[in-house]
Amino acid sequence: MIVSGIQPFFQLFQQRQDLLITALWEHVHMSLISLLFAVFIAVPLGILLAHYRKGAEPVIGTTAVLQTIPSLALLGFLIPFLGIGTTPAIVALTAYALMPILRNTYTGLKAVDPALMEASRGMGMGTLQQLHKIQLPLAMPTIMAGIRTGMVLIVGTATLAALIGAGGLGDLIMLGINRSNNYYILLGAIPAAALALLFDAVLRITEKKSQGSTLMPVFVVIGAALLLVVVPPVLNAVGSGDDEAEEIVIAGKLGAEPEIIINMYKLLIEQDTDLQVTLEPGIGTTDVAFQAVRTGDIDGYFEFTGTAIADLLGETVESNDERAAFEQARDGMYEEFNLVFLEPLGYQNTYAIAVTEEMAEELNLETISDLQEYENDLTAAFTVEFTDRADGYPGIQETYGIDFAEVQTMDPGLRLGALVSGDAEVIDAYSTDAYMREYNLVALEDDENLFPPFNGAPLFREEVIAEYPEIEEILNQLAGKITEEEMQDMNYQVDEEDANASDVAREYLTNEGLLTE
Amino acid sequence: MIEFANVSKVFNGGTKAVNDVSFKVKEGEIFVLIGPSGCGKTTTLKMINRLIDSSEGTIRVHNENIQDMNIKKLRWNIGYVLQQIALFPHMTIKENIAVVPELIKWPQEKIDKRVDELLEMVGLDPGTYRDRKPDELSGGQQQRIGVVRALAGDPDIILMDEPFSALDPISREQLQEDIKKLQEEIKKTVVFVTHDIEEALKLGHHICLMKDGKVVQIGAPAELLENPADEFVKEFLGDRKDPWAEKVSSLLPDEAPAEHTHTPASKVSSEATVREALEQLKHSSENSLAVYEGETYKGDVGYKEITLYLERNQSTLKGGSSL
Repeated sequence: MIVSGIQPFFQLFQQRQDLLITALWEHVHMSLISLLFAVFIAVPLGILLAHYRKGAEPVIGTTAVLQTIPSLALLGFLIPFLGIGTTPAIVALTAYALMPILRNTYTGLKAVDPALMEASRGMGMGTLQQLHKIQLPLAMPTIMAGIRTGMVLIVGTATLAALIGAGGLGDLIMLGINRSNNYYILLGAIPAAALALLFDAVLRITEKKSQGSTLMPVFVVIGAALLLVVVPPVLNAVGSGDDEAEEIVIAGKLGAEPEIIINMYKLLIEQDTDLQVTLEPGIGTTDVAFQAVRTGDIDGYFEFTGTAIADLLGETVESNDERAAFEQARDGMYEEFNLVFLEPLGYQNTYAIAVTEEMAEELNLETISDLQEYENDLTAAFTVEFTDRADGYPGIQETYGIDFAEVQTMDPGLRLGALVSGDAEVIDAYSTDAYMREYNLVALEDDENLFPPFNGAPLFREEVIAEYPEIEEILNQLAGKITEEEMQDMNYQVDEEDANASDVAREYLTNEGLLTE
Repeated sequence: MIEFANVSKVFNGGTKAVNDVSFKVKEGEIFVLIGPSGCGKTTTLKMINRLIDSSEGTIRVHNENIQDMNIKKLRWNIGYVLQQIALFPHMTIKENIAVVPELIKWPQEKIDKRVDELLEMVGLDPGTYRDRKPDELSGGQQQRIGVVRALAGDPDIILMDEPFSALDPISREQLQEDIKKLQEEIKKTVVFVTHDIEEALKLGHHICLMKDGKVVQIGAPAELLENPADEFVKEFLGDRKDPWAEKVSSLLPDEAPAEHTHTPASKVSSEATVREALEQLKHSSENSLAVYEGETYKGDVGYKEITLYLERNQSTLKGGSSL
């Protein structure tokens, strides 16, 4: 999508203010806690290292190693130990900010003129008095510079925490990337940048105020941050003391479709049982959701059969028959991971090769095989995943014998842009995605049955189904119910018309007579 | 007041920086430690406020072994002036001076009064300088504050570690004068490290000359000049002679001798010293003596010539003559 004016952005800004405020608050909260942790760990550690000197370099080196781990990898790495949500995000963000704060504290203290240290010692100051009156005030600009660097790192990296269900402004950015809607991306990115600038300004002013021998402003800011972080959860805890209903947590991966489906689950389960269902929509990737369900962080999520077989079980799909594929996935997941697949929904959301309607008419394209004739004239824009999967582009090359003149790999959102702007003629797509409708795209028929069946179904932990067996019956009401068109339509409502996923789910269920109002 | 008894300091590397040093510093005097670099003078100084601990021997202050004293209380009672000046750059002049009074918890009023009083003592207007930062002051002014800071808690002892060596010659001379005057007024016991013999002779009531960690000679400036213990002392003092030991012949005016009018009783040999000549004058009724080299008359030397000569050499006269 091309940014075509500032007005749509402000419209979105006004419409989604509630979302923005929640995300902003989550972001502030997560960033502040991480920064406080980082400061409380790194500053005292830096002071100790500067005092004892020994071991300083190895310790600082270790924090530097933490810094080199790509943030997404660190977040993913923590899931098996800490699950998903805010906790692993805060741990990862804290780890990121350690290095600049630790190094600057150490360097700042070490750089204090030895003559000043000798003078203060000769005047009868103790070690703590020296630290408080001489070293810290003199090292403060350096330490504050480290804290400010750490803070910018945290506020920036915190946008990625959305991928492991920690929320924050990253939610909006991911939403934007997923819907290839630049306004959503900006709605997340601009406040994130503004937040970084604001924090930086607060810290800079604090630093200015604390020049001289008093550290008072520093303590005031730390105190204010603590209050901001601690008070709301405490109030929450006090307010919701008697909320004892039993709760299950259901997650969905990033995107409108999983969110709509899990909302249906919630509505149905809450209608027929006393259970309280908490939803975790927009959990990054397959891996994150899968790790979360294995650690018991979530009780179930919405998964596709093809993904379960290829990615989670590491098998190849034995049959292109939908039922056979589902049974393979169900049996495999149970044996391998004790996870229970309930009945699939009916529609398929499989890979598709898509072209524009005009192109299809002009070249008379109906099936993927029809592309072979034009392989030397066409440029394809594929996602990294599609280029990589055996049932993706390599499969096309092998099964259909098609080698496109040029293949560009890019982000899912960007490949649409490439198609619209004419930079590419062929893209990979998911058959139910909303943009198929919006951009009048045609999915070419997979006449050689290359793509395995991708049927969506609820995947639950065995213990949950054992404890609440009624869930199985309730969710199986949806078995085979939703058609590809219906799903495309619902996705369109959420992605392009900004409808609320829960409203769309409710409307569908009511129309189908599954939900009584 | 301060007493070193067989004090040695061996550093980790095994070097013996100070070797069996003994001396006494009298109350109210300026005691100068001097010697070539590496002689152990600074180490000796820093052992007094225990910035460096001695390895052997005892150091007593007010007859009390400093190892048995509370180290903070010991240091609060010993002002310390550094060569690097080392004013705390993040504090104002007032805050710098107030460090020790605050550590020993003087009431704020007393501190304020003390700061102004000290600033006036070294000729800096409190209203102008009190709230300035050290880097707004010249080097000489900074070291005045350095001295004043050491005095702030009203200690009995001041240690000065080459305090003026980083200053330009004019500031240095001024500060030397100021310190001398100040010390005469307030009568603190000062231990002063320097490598500058002029400074030592000018300021020291007693001078302790060190070499290779050992004391070579201790004495008043005049004693050292008159009776250097060995070649090293002589060399260290330079070709400077005791003006009193100068031969009278060098006091003769340049112009050719006029006809002499003296009686034989007022004759003096050109080999006689200034001191001997003065002694002879005191017992004579004349105002001048006739200087003879053997049988040859060379000219007259009287009170006037001696006074002018002594004035020319006044810098080396400090510490009193033995007259």
